[in-house]
Amino acid sequence: MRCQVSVLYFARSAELAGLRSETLSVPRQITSLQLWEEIVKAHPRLAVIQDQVVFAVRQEYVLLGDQLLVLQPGDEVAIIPPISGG
Amino acid sequence: MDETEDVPKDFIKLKSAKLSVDEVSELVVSPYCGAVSLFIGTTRNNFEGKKVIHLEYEAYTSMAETEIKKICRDVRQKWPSVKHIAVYHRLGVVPITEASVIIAVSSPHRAESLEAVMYCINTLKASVPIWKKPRKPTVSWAASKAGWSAGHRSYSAPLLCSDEIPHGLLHPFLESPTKEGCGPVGMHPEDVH
Repeated sequence: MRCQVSVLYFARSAELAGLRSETLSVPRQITSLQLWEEIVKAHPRLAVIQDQVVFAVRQEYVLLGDQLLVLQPGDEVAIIPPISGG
Repeated sequence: MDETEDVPKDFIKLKSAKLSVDEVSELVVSPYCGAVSLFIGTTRNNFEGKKVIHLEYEAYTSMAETEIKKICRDVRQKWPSVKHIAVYHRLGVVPITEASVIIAVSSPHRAESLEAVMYCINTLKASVPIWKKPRKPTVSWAASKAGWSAGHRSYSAPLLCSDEIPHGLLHPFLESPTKEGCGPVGMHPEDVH
């Protein structure tokens, strides 16, 4: 089963993907690493920052790895490169 | 005295207009408080040994506000006497010497607001989804690859918004024995003392 989620790109990831946001269809249950791989399939240039990014899913940080995500239609998934506020 | 007056408040704003120290410090003033402590992060004219014309900030705005609210909540747990907290962060272009962030905290006595301000800026840099991009005087393809700078938590470094930031960046949420400075959000304020 798949659902549509909003993917948001920031900073370097927005430059590499060439866009700030889009809707993607992804499996409802998926590990964070598998989700990353789906996104890289759509935007291969993102592969270079794999070691530096985390996700924010429904505004909670998630590392790329085995964590199982249960996604709902309309969920926000953000690509978070290393932050540098302040 | 009427204790229902002056209920503790958090003032959180992300905006592209120039920040005003007067405006932010006025927000936290209280007749119950003898101390207002302030941190101002300003744009420095160099980054990684290269000249910088300005910094440009972007944010995941809704999540940044939520994360700053969490910081305020944590401050009130750690320093219950803190009265008001204001965290204002500028977005977009911030020219040299102008403020990119102002944090103001009021408390009856000075120790708590001083400690709380330090905690706020340290935790903001580690956990709030905001990014800065230095703009250098001459644009070249090599320079533009450097792109977005990476956050690095360092308690020993001066608390300026444009800290020296090492390459090969440390993401605050990646924990690796080979990397330094990373860790869960908002830990160890006591390391600062």
